[in-house]
Amino acid sequence: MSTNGSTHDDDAVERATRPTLGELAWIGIVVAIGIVQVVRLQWFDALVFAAAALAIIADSTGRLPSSSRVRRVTGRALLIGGVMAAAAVTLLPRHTPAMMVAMLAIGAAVLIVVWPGTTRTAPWPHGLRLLSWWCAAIVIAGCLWELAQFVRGRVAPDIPAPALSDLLNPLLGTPIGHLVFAVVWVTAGAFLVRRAVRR
Amino acid sequence: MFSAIYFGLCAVALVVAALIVRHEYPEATLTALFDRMMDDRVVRIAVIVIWWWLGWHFLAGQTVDPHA
Repeated sequence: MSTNGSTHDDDAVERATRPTLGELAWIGIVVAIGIVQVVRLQWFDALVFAAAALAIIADSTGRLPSSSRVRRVTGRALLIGGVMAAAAVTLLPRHTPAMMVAMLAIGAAVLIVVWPGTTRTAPWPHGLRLLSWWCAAIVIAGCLWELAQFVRGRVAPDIPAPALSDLLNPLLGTPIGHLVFAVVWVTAGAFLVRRAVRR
Repeated sequence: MFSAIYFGLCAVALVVAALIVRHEYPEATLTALFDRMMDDRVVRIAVIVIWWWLGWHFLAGQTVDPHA
């Protein structure tokens, strides 16, 4: 994913040395997912979340350089990057070294694009705060159910306890399921990158 | 089957909650919510890593554990 390398603002900003409540919540989420990967014995996945946790802990405590600069990505660059990513994850077979390389390349590119810049915004409007609480409550309800199925599957393997992965895996095994997932995943990523670089 | 219904209800609840809140507060959209979230690098990196990992999990890594 290419960028033109320009920035909105090159001024360094003073970063708070204590994480906010919201940042603590997200650090907790990343750590919790990492712990689940340890239980699953998925060491690479655990390493990814451990590295992410260390990075955001360091950032939230003011240990990383901070500035208000943001990498600017044009709509065209985002479109080209998205189409290339979609082509790769759609056409490559699942669980192959080629798919792994493509996924790693996409992750690295996105991380490079969204990394620069951090801002402390004004207090959230009431409506947005309300929306965030509702979304958080519903997503947490879903995650708790997922966790319960995961634990039940470990404690009592004979009792059916399908987690989201068990439900989606057979669908992704079909060409149309693979295509739909890949398009939805890339579209979601493009949306997130767009929101990240718009500042 | 119950799990599928439960996850489906969560997805429907997200849409309904977004519509209800937006009806009362027109500025409170999901896009505006992500705009605010992505302002903070800690949240931004956490969200991006989770999004990336979902792709990795289902397309590249081990999706279903053999003993689960």
